[in-house]
Amino acid sequence: MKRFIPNRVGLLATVGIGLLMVPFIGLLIRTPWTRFAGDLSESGTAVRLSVVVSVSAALVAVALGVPLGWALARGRFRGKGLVRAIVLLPIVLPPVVAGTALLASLGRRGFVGSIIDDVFGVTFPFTTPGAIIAASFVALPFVTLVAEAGFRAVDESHEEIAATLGAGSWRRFRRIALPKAAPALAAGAVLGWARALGEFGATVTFAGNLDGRTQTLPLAIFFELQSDPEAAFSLSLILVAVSVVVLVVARRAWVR
Amino acid sequence: MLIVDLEVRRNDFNLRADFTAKDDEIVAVVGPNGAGKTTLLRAIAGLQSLSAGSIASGAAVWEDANRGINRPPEDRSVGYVPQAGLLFAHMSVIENVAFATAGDITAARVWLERLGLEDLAGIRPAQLSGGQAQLVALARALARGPEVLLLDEPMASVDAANRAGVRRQLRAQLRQTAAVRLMVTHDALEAAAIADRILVVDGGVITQRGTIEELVTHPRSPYVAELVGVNFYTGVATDGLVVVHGGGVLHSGEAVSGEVIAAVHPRAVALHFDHPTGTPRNVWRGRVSAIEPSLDRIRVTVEGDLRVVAEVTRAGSEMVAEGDAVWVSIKASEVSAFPR
Repeated sequence: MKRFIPNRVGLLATVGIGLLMVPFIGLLIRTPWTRFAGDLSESGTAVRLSVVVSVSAALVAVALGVPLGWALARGRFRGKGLVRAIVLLPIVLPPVVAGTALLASLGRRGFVGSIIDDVFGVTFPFTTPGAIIAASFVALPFVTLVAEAGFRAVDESHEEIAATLGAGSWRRFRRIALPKAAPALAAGAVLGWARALGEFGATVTFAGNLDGRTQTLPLAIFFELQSDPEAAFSLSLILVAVSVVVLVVARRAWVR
Repeated sequence: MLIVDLEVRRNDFNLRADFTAKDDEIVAVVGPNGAGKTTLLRAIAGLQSLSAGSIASGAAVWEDANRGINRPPEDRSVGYVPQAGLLFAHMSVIENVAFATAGDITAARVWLERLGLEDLAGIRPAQLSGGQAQLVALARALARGPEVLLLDEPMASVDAANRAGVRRQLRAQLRQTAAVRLMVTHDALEAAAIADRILVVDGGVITQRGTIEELVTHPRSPYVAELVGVNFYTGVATDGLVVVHGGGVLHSGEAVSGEVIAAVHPRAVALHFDHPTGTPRNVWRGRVSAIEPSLDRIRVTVEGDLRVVAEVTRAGSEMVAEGDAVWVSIKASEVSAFPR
């Protein structure tokens, strides 16, 4: 039978891809190419801060998400379903709620934040570490889920053989499971980093919008939009370009 | 010395096995698919927990379900070569072997040299043939210097052309190794070529143990008879005269009585077109129902009072065809009869 797409389905599919494409076309049209370089250098602080925050958050998310993914993939413990639900929550949670929750817990008067303030004299709101925490919070689920799927795909029989060759659990994890899951872990790290880079709601709610400390690119775009929309378009285009690069790189790791 | 007395219970499957294997012998574990052979090896290696019983190597108790002792695989002096070899694909051949020597490359190289594999040191497992991969897996298991070496169907992934060479290598290496050596196979030839003693596992229990000669002359089950290719009958004997269950009689040279098993090697079965002369005690008429060529001989199945398989030379086989009426004769001395 010849395969074909029914007209109605084809029409809706076209509208769908249009909805996804039109905004980028608009962005390209409105980008002020003549002052593009100038906008970029003026926003150097936000760009640098975004790099620092997103890379730090990605590192935190990998450091915590890989062990968490391992526990979910291989661990046998009670309440595993609950743990997985907690991991998934930040993905479905509105970021502004995530930021509010972070404020309530890690803020100056939060039940954890107040202790940290008393013991170390450190507070997170309006600081770069605060922005990193917010970005880590939203990035961690992505890294965890991709890591879990990666570890699940590793054939356990190789780890069994490693055990019969005298390797303890740490050596089996490091020499067998980790290298075998490496492509998935890399994909998870890239995905987590991309999520951290785009983070807006939780950051602005928890860490605030402080130039040079917590004002990352997405925050800069939002606030530029109210004063200088042209600059916002320039900065937006940077993030689109970065996203496309991430997609190309990550696809290579996923689709194999 | 490996002392095993174990029971593994799973939802779909139970395994019970008790045996002792000495340091100076190679023991083959044979049995049909799903009999529990691999489960037995995995239990000894520590990859499958026991439901009851114990496993000990010399004075060291590896596992004892009653006393709550269960050493993990890395704390058992064991080498395990699984059916698929399972080399680590992200490591080179020498790195695979060095995994068992705690990273000692020099020691790993010595093992590769012992198996004549030193030329393969730098390459990845994906580039190896089935036979090479299996020998590397053996080198890796040996490199740990185990007290107990377990091999699961070591020839399964070796293609036919290399089988003889790999089997010779395997045999030579196993002979040199000072360890309890346990090899799972479903090939009687392989068991005969390599092992000193055979354990037959069927349906999760050990149904027979002995040398290949004992299995051929005294098969205790249709499975073993089929495995070693001999005719198998059960019946009631009175002083060597066996009334076979299902019809027919066999005269045996052995003066046994009671419920017996009678086994006849196909080569001891003679076929004739005319009534045989001489003094064979077992003579009957039958009809050829199947002719099956093997390498140098032909297996001819004859239906009659008793169903029997005869092995005749190729020259002789050209004269018989399916449906031919023939005389079957077997000397009484060739009928091995023994109590069930």
